[in-house]
Amino acid sequence: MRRIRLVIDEGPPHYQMAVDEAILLLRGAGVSPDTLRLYVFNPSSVTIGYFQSLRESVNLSYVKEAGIPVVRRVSGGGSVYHDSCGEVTYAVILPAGDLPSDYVESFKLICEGVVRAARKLGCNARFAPLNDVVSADGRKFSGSAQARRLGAVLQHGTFMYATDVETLARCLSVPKGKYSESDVVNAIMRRVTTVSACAGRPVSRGEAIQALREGFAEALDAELVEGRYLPAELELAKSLAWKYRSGEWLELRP
Amino acid sequence: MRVCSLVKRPSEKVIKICIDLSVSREGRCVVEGVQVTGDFFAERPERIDRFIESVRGADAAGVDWVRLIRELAADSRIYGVSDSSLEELGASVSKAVRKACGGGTLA
Repeated sequence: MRRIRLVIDEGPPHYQMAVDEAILLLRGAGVSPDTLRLYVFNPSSVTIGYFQSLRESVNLSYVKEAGIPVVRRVSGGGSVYHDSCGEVTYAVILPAGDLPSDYVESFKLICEGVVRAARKLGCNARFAPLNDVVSADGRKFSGSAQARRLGAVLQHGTFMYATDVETLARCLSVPKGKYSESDVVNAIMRRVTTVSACAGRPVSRGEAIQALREGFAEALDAELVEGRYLPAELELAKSLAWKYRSGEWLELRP
Repeated sequence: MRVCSLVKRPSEKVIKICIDLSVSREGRCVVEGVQVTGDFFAERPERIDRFIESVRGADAAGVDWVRLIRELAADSRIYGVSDSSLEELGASVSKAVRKACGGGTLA
């Protein structure tokens, strides 16, 4: 059985993204151990994928008005609303060689931790390729993204245990012309759910974190050892945080 | 002017390419800039940014876009989008550029 460091954390979006990237780079360099992070964005934030157009993926007027910060990730994938009171983000950092070479299989292996966590909470969940976990009726409550550097893989993703789905829908960009904003918000709300709604009972943050700990330990066949960040990780994260705060990085693809 | 093409198949990720075109003093249709966006993944994302730099200033009508996008996908190791979708994107970009450039100059 492998040992994986577990770190539970809470903080602003530029910090969370900087820590994920720092551990990815240092795991690739052989400095950091295999790691599972479980963290909360505080304040609630929006992240967008590395390749996404900012204006095409986020409703900028809404997030500005609501005071919701937006940060571009180092990973691909789509835009995400991280609700500080209803979502826990996971990040798994492992050597690429420890994962299946097939990308779908690599997503599936790590997402199995999310599937198991949801089932422990009473939600009959399943993996939906390429990178989602959905309820029995096909509604999404978890999406994941990957970045690969120096032979290491970072997979991070959402676990929406009680996300405000209406706010989530309003944060996403609305295509001009064909649909009204309310049509788009309603369409998104029909496709998205939370673990609480799926389980038919309120799920707390504490329960969500405990279920994720158990789910990932089983899925990765690992003993999770609660630990701290290395000084080198914190130092690198500090120097990476400027990038995630910068307008240049956010507007990389306007 | 800007021409854009995108592909989106069920259970695949979106990839979109937009090309900004202008007319040179000699009347050629020139690539001013390229934007590659979407919710796809790539193992070597920096290669996509390098690709964007490499085609800036090129004669748009003279570029083999199908081959270029195929090579870009392989070089940057794009995943989440199938090979056939990338071929379709290349063909679509090529057609859009030909239409915009006409006989080599902007139509």
